Amino acid sequence: MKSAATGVAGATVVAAAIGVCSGTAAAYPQYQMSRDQTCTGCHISPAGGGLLRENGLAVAESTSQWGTAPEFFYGKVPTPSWLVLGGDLRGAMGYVKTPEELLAGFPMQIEAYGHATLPGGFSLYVDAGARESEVGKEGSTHAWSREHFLMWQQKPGDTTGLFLRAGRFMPVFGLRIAEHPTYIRKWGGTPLYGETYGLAVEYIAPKFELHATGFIKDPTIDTPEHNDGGAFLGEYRLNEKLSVGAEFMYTKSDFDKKFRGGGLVKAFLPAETLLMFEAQYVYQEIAPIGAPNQIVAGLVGSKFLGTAYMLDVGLNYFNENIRITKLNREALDVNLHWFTTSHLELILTTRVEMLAFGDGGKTSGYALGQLHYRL
Amino acid sequence: MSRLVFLAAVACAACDQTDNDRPATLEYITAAILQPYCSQNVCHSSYARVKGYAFDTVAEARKSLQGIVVPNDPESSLLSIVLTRNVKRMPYDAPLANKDIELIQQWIMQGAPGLTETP
Repeated sequence: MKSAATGVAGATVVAAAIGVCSGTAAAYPQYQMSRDQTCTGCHISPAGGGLLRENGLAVAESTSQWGTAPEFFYGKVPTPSWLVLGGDLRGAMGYVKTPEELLAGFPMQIEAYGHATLPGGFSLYVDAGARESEVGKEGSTHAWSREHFLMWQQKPGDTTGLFLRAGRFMPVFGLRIAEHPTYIRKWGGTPLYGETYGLAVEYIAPKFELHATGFIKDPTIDTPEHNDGGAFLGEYRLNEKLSVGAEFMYTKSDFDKKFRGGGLVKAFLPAETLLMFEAQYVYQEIAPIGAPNQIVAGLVGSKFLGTAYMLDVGLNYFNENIRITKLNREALDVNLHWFTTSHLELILTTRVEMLAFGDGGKTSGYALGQLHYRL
Repeated sequence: MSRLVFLAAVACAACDQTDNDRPATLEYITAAILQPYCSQNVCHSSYARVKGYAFDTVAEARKSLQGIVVPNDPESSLLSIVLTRNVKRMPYDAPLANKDIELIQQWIMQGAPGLTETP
């Protein structure tokens, strides 16, 4: 009886779970320090994530179990030197406890990317993909472009220097962990589909990087973030194994304002272990009354196991109002990544989430197998 | 060092924590609870309106809640029911804290002020 109920409920939950668990291919900050010092060392975008540079392709090949040609479609679809193409397909299935126990499977991402180099240091970066359509506009909103921006680079083709970006993208803020359910993303100012239209001024050097972004909410579609604002992230590498950063974000919607201030630390320990820590203090002002102060924090330990495996253990903490008892929630994440080929990654992603350490509400969690294919 | 600062901040914050005396208003509940927990991603946002509900702004929350809140009667309010039942409980990805559920029920018990006001 239970399994029948679970099956029906599982089918029902799939659509909702798409919203809960869908994702985008972001960078793995774990590669920073262990493989390269900057995001631009491997990625085209100064924010990291998405399309890879030549060095990123080489890293994808060298860190996978069976290698294979890392280029777009294994190099069988040649592109001119000014054009880089790519894409990501992701999906997941497994066990979810909400607290009802369910089996669920869902697509997460179907996206293609293109980066065209233009004269004068300019370039155009566009992604396009499928997503759940907008209510009332179903016929025209099955596909969308999550990111599209014009970029100017002081030193074309280089990984350092001044970058200017204008268009639709995620403001650069915090650790930029790939897994969007991490609290420092979900409630830390960069939730899934939180891209906005903005203008970014970014400077990247081997020892430090600065990212300043002004943004407005997307005027064309409704997004999870209804905010205008600005974000700043500065990161300084004290040496090859330790970096520290500071971050600030101000956002304003029609009914609230938020100010976030925080910091981050990345420490590359012996035995290929990277520790990353980020904490934010959030002041939220809700009109016409109420001003809850919040804390969002995450600690992630990441270790490469042999050539093709990476283990992440993460602790998440979010307190939605530090003045009120039992409004804190905690989550333990354990993710095991297996980079099988240059293009295919399999991930076992698990979470146990508690409210006030089990005293503030129902405990939940999931154990999902995730497949990520990079074109 | 940062971890120590963080732990100290949490400890200090816990020193003067109080009980659930937050304002039971539509504006507060929307901004502090419904928007961050229910309308992220593509669930109950204005974009997706899963099951027809959107909670990402006060105006949208007001419209959506009018169909699922019975003023002064939490037990008959679908909003309270879906937040507390064990099967198909909302939010799907992580249950709400009991204190948040209590605040919503308190707002309903007080007649759900703001539910029918025009913005």
